[in-house]
Amino acid sequence: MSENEKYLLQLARKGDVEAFEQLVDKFQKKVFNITLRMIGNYDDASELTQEVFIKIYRSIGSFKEEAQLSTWIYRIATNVCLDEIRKRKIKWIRSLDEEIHGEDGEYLMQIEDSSPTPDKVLENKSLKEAVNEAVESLPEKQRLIIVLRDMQGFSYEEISSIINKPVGTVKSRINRARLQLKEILLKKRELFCEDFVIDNRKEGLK
Amino acid sequence: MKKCQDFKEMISEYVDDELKGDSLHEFEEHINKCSECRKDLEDFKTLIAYFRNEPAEDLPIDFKDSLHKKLLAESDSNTGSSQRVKFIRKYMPVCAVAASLIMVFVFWINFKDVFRMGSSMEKTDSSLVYQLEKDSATAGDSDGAMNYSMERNESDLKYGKSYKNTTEGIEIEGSDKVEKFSYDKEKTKKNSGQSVQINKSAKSVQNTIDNKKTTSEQSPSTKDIDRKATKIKLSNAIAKTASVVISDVGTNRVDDIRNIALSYGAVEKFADAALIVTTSDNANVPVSENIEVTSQKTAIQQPILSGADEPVANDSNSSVKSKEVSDSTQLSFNIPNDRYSKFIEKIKERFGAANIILSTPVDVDNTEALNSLDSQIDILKTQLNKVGEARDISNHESIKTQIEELEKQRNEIISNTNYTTVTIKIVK
Repeated sequence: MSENEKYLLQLARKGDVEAFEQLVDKFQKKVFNITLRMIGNYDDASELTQEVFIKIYRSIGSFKEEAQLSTWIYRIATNVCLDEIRKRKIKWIRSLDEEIHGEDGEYLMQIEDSSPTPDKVLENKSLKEAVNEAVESLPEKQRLIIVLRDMQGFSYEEISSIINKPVGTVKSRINRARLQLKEILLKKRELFCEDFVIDNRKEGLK
Repeated sequence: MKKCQDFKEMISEYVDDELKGDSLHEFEEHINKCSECRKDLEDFKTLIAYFRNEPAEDLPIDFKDSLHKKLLAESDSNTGSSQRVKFIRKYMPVCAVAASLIMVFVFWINFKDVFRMGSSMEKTDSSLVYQLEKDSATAGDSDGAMNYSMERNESDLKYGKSYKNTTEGIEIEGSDKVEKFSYDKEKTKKNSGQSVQINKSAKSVQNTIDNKKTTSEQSPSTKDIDRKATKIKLSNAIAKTASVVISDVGTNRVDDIRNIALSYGAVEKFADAALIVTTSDNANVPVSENIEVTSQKTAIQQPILSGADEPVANDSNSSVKSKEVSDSTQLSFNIPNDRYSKFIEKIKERFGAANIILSTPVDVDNTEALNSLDSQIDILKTQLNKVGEARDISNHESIKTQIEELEKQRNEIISNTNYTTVTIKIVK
């Protein structure tokens, strides 16, 4: 940590908003991108990123100078994302379970199948959308690993300190997540036509 | 020798340049031989290349402004609270003095009340007349009563409130709203041997008050036993009771009944919670409605008795308890009024209508008991004020417990109004 950063940190700890903003400025874009890849929605990601930095501002007093500020920030960001995803999951499950009380007794809520039909996929699925969708369909921990390693390019050691797990665990998680992602994409390709494959070839994926 | 699966697990490390030394060598050797692993490796590379080439998104345009505002708001709320803490620390002694002054003031006000309140207590020469006064409007209000269960110094504000309640009662004294009724010695004697204790407690209340009291006003009308019949009708103090006798139901059906009752939202009444639970005398009485009513009436005397009894002997309930424990085939439930008929249907269905003798639910008017409890609570409260004034801490605590005990009974009576108390007796 540079002298300047130490100075800013001191001020930020006393509640100086401007100093805090200067201190975390260079991390904002990356945090936003992590959040965006994890949540998948631009506006929600923006909102959540702000939440992350407010949380960081609140708890900056507990940050120890020996630690790496970046790692600390990314750890908070990933935790906020995972929490949010879990929250949404619970909400979704509850909404599925919810019983609607109608005039003629109780009946279970009918859920419309929102997954696209093969026709639709044919029409407008680009490789980018297909990959993003595949990433979003990963379990949140695997998604996080892909986001951190492959999208944000963190090293194994960095990921290890962000998610607070030994490097060995990180290694196996990365491999498992990638295999899983590959499976999902292959399935998509098998299901949905040659056009998709051609499209893939054009854009570089076999 | 490593298997294909082992090498598959190393693909990521290889792609990420994390594989070193022997492992790297082994891996490369395997990849050259195994086409399946080679294919996986290629897929991984493509996938990773794809992600790497994805450009990072820029922050939304309004992101920094919006965050700045939120941070400022956060900082304001933070410094605000810390300033408050500083202020309190700095002026702590001043605050303490102010608080104690307020407490003294409140005590003084309450003492004034005690003085005036006492004028409603009389003593007749041979029989002790317990004159009770209660404003019908405040009878159902548990607010004032609740306040006293709080720590004295905890809330001056609430204290002020209870003060208000008592003054209200005094202001309308003598007006039409106020009903007077009394129990004299003879009447209480009828209800088991507890009358002596009642008198004792009433005496102790009166003695303390008489010490400070000068006014003594005889009211012969209060001696009149007939006036015991309550004139205050509080719709919310009516509890329904009913009894069910089930005959010839074979072996242990207690659990069956219990399960059915619980499924209808019943609360089982155990002996120690018994205030209106019928005594074993009542249980032997068959279904004749008249007898039922009378027996219920004796039953509802219990809250009055045990209530009045409480200040002197806290274990008065134990006598009631033992009676019921001995009768093991009798169950008692509080069932929500609106589910009572369904419950009975279910019981009939389960045990056969022919095996069941049923009494019509009877309204039991607990208003009197409620009022009696209210008056006792009021008296104890004035006592509490006095004791508080005299800083007699040990007495203060015991009176407080007594009040709490009475309030518990009072709350039970009120909560019972939503339930039908069913006594189920199983006869072989």
